[in-house]
Amino acid sequence: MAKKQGVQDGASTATKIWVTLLILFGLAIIGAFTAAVITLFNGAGGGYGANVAVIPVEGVLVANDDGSFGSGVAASDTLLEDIRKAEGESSIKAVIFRINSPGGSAVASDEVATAIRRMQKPSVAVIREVGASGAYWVASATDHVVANPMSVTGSIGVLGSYLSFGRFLEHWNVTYNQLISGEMKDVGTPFRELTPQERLFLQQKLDAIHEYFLQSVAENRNMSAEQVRPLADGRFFLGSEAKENGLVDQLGGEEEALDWINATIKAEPVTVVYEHRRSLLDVLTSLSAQRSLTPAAALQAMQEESVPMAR
Amino acid sequence: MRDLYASLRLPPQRVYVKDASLLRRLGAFVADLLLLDFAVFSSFGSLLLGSFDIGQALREGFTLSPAAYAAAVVMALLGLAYFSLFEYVLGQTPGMMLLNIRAVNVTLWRAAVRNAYMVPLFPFPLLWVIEPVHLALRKTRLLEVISRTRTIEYISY
Repeated sequence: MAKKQGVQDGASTATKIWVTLLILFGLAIIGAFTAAVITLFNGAGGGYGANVAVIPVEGVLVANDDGSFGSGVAASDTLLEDIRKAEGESSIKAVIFRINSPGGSAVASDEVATAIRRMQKPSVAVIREVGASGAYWVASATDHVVANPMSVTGSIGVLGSYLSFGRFLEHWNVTYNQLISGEMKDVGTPFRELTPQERLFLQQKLDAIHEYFLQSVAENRNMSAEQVRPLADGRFFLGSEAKENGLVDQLGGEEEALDWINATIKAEPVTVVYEHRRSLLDVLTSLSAQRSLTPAAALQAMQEESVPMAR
Repeated sequence: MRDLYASLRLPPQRVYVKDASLLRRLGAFVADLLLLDFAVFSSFGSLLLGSFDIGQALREGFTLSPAAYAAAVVMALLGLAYFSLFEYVLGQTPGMMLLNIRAVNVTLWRAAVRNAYMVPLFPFPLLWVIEPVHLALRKTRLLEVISRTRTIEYISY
C-alpha cells in the first residue's frame, strides 16, 4: 500500500479515540458556525434583506391558540408577538397584514387593532377572501386597506349565542339546581331559559361592545360615528361596495399593497412572511395537553361559546 | 499475561479477511448516522425542524424553506466530510469500529469518491437507490468499484 494514507492500521486505541474526538469536535464547530450564519441571514423567519413584514391573519380570531392540530385560528397573542417583532426589527420598514378571516373574539380583535394603531411603521391590510367583522376591525386599524372587489368585508356587528338545553332537560325530567347569590350570577347558563331581564342584560352588553366596535372603526377610518352607523348593522359588503362607502381604500391585492408601500417608504419592498409553523413535537405536546371530554369540560366549552364574538 | 499465552502453546491466530457483510455495513452506517445526528447535526435542529409544520405539510404538501434547504446542503457536506475524513485518517468510521469493519486502499481523494452519495447535487442523490441495489447484487458498492477501494471485515479463528 504505497499510496499516502492516514494513520489507519497502525493506530492504537488511544490514538483512534483522540482522532475521533478531534474530527467530531471540528465538524461540530463547523456545523454550529454554519447554522449560526444561516440563522443570521435567515433573519426573523424569511429572506435576507427583507424590509416588509407580512403577518398572516388567517382563521377565526381568538385570544390564544390552544395548539390543536390544524386548528386554523389567528391567535391575538401570536399576532401581538409578530407586531412587536416587526416594530423591533430595524430592517423592517412596513408591515402587511394578509387577512383571510371571518372575525372572532371581540377582545382578540381589539387587542390586535390597538397594537396596529400604536405601530410607528406604515401598515397595510390586504383582505383576501374574507375580512369581516373582527377581521375588518383589525384591517381598519392599518394605514391603508386593500381588498379584492369580491372580498367579503364589513359585517360590523356583534353576536353572542349558545345552545339552551332548558326544555330538553325538562322533557327528560331533569332538574337544574344551581345555588347562586346575586341575581345575575348564572346568566347565560344553558340549562334554563333566559328571563326577560337577563335577555335585556345580555343585549345591553352586546350593544355596548357593538358601539365600542363602531367607534373604533370610525376612529381608525377617520370617519364620524354617524357615517359608520348606517354601515354597522352587521351586513357584509363586497370589496367593491366597501370601497364606495369608505371602508376600503383601494381595490386589488398584495401587488397594490406593495406599490403603496413602495411609494410610502421610497424603497423597493422585499417581503418576509412571519410564519408560525408547528413541529411534530408541538402537535404531540398539544394533543397530550388537550382537555379530555368530560361533562365538566363540555359545560365549560358551552359557557365559552357565549363569549361575545365580533363575527 | 503474554508469558501465560506463550506457555499455553496455542496455535497462531488466523485471520480471514472478506468483504464486509451487508448487515455489518448497515449497522455501521446507522451507528454513524446516529453519532452524526447527535454530535454534528444538533445545531441544525431548529433550522430544519423549526420550519416544519406537519399540519401544513399534510394540507399543502411538503416544502422546504430556503433556510432549511441551506441547512440540508450543509449537513450533507458535513456528512461527506465525516465519512471521508474518518475513512482516510483511521480507515474506519466510529460505526465501522463498532462493527469491526474497515475500508482499505483509501486515500483522501478515494475516500471522497466512495462517499460521493452525500453530495447534495443531482445526479449524486440517485446513488441512494443505486448503491443499495448494487450492494445487494454484487456484494460491493458501485462507488467502491469506481474508487478502487473495498470494505472488509476480519474474522479471527
